[in-house]
Amino acid sequence: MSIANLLQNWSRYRDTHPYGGAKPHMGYKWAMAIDMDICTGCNACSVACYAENNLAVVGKEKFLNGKSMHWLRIERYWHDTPEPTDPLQLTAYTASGAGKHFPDQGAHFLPIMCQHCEAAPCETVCPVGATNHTQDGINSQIYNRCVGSRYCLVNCPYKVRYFNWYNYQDPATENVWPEPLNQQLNPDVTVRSKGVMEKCTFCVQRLRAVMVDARTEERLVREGEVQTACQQACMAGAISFGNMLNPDSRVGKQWIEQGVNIALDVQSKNEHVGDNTPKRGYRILENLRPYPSVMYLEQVRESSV
Amino acid sequence: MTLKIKDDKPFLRDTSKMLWDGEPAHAEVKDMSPHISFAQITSDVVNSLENPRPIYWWAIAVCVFMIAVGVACEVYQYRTGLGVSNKSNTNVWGVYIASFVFWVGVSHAGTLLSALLHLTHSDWRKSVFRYAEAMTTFALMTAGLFVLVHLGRMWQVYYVMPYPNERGVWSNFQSPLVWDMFVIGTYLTCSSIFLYTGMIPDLAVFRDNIHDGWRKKLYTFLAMGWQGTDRHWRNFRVAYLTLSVYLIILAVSGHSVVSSDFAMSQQPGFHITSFPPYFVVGALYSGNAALITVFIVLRFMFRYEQYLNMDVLRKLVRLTFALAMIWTYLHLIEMATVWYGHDTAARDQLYFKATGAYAGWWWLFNFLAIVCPWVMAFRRWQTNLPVQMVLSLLLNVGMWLERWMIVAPTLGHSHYPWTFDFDQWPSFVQWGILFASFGWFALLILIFCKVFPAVSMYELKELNYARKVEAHHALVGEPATKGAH
Amino acid sequence: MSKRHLLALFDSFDEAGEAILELRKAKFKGFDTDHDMIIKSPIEHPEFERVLGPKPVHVQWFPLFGSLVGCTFLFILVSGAQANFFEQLKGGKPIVPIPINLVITYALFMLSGVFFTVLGLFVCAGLPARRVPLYTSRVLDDQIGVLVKADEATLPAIKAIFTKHKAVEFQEEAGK
Repeated sequence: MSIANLLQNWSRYRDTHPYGGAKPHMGYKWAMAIDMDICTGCNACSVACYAENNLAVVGKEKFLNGKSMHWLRIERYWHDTPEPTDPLQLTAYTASGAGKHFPDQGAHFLPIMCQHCEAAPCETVCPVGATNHTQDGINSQIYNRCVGSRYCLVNCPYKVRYFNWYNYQDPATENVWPEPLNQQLNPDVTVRSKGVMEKCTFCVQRLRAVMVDARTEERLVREGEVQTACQQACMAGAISFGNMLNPDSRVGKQWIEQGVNIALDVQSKNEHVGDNTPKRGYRILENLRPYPSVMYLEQVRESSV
Repeated sequence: MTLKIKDDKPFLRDTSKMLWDGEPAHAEVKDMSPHISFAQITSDVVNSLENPRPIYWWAIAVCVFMIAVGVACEVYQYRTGLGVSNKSNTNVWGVYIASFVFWVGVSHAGTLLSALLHLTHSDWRKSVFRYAEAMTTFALMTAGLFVLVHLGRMWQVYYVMPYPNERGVWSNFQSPLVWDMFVIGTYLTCSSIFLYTGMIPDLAVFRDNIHDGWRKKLYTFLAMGWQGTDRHWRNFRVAYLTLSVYLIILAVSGHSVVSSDFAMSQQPGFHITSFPPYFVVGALYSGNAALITVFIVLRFMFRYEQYLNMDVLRKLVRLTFALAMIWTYLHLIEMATVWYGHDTAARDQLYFKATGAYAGWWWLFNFLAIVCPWVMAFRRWQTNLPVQMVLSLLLNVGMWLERWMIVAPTLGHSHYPWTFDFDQWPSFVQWGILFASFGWFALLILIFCKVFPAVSMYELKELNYARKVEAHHALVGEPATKGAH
Repeated sequence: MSKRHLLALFDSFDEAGEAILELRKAKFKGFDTDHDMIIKSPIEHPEFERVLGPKPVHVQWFPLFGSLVGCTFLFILVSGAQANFFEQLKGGKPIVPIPINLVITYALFMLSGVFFTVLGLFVCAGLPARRVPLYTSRVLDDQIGVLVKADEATLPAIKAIFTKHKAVEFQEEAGK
């Protein structure tokens, strides 16, 4: 049976992601774009994510210990300036109190969550198949299949997976939702137990709800019908999310506008002839070829202009 | 022509001191004397089951204590969660995986001695290969425990196995961890089969020489009616040879697959093409060092001075030195390739190892694993038991550190600077479980040597027979051709 | 005539070997030198065993068969499992990745080979075996035993040959 199945559908079994446009996903390819010029780094998205997805607030000590559960984190980078060799400048440098930071540049920041790679390095290494590529282009995580080998996290170049080091709902020890805080848990989302890996799901509970609705009405999900929690909370509207295959979608238009092709690891965005719109789109660690589904729009700074 | 030293001395029972005059039976024997009778070999090994030195029981007690420490740590970790081992979302692996690789490594020397040297007819292996082969099995069992301890939800570990189920859910055959499960499982199964098969003739001797109690029943069952007939020996010889060929392939593929846990990932510092040979040779190296440690312990504990003798030790030490040098070369070439290549992430990784937060441990490991084995190059130290004991332990400390240096600094310093994390010092839970693993391994070895023949009687007799024939021909002045196989 | 067993114990391989060679030359009636003679020895001694004449070994065919069957079985099992489990799609890899399946196929190649080697040993060597008559533990210790099965009438002649070649001890089956 399986052999017959194998021989009949052979070509289908040899398809690989990323499809590169020739063979799209089955109606859906969820993707995101984050405009760093609009983003203020206010952390609202992160907070919304905590609320929506029942993330454990682990506390200061465990946070400093690297055990935090922030699916969406705002990373902060400071510009390092080399220490001046000229003694006069060195005095000024030390006196300014800037230390190693470059104060007028300020911090760079970057909201980063699971990039839902088309060729995700985490998927292939999971021994039990707890993380897979879904047909709508999401990198799924199956909590009750996970055995906690943490290989996915080792192989994730962005390190955006988070491991449940403790049982955060255990009333005896690590209860982070004591009464009545447990009332605010989102009933649509599991509270994960100790020993499983978790990560951003693109708010899959919301996606599935609208996709079921759309299917009963025999159509695809419309643009604007679903929002992720972070997108909803972003006061500046820096995050756009949607079905990339939908020609109306804002995110699909942005990707095309920025000349970022999901199936390429080297973008030809700067080679458009006669196209003067500045191309700001980029993806993180594209050279490792995970083909991430999240595009960032470069932050243009006054000093760099 | 009949083979007898003198007409009144039966050849196989010869105990004369004609050729090797003035040699005390149980002192610093250079090599096994040809004048030991076959019956002496049998009784020496059978007696080792009964009266080891008293330190044996102290060793058992220490091992049980060590295991108790580890069990306490594991119970604590199991109930509270893996967080108590003090890892972070960056340093996710730590001591457990390093120790897993270490123990799989220790297992390799047994296969080298029992299988590869069997194929090449290196007869000096005959007195050491049995316990070496047992070390293979037990080291793999220890390594398997680390996999369990490492898992977040060890009670679901059976998800890794491909078993038919009504939901049609399978494990992911693409994952190097599943390959590990297949290959290490195969290696463990096959090495225990190999150990057992090679032991059948000796178990039959035990069956015939021990007359009551549970031992009699055990040996009668395990010996499966072996009677040393020509049909038994003929088929045994071919089967054992075939098994040793399989075991060599398994040993090489086993540690190659373990190395692919690292080499198949994208992590800079793991993603290195030369990892498989580097791991295999490193495994043989540390395994041989462990073999020397166990050699010295067993020699004393079970009074095996005649069989685990200085000649064998010298050869073991030389083998270890040779392997250490091969490993050193592969280690240096691995660093050279990283340094020479233009993968900046990997190069930063290497610089971080040498200069960053783990630099002290890194240089210590380099000193222990590269410089220390040079002591083994000097003939005067090769058979010095205290020196070799300390040295073999130091080499294994070095090789454990090597595995830890592959895991810890590499995970702390990846592609992504925001997640760099350099100060995750493993908590007492990790150290406690590592500590216990040595107790567990030693306990298994000690029990094995008390229940099963730790040196192979029939192979010793073969070696002894060859020596007898040689000695005889030396005496009568004829070329030694017959019997020296 | 009824057949009976006789076990002669020798102190050295050469004496036993010469006795066997002489027995083979003697060609007693009702005594098949290829099947009615068994050597028991504490060690294996391939050169010595040649005195029994050619005795082929067939163990090596078992692992060849086992390995091939095992790896074919596993490859089909794994590929079939993957092909029927489309939900476990991995980004960047096809649903049935052949080079990757070969890694574990190789593991089962060896596992089944080893199992079949042991099976071959058991089948070819006749293990687990019942004790043959006239067993003595001396043959696993330091003596070489030659067990013959012959007509009662020829036994004295055989025994004479053994005695000539310095057999140290005899054991005889009790007559019926």
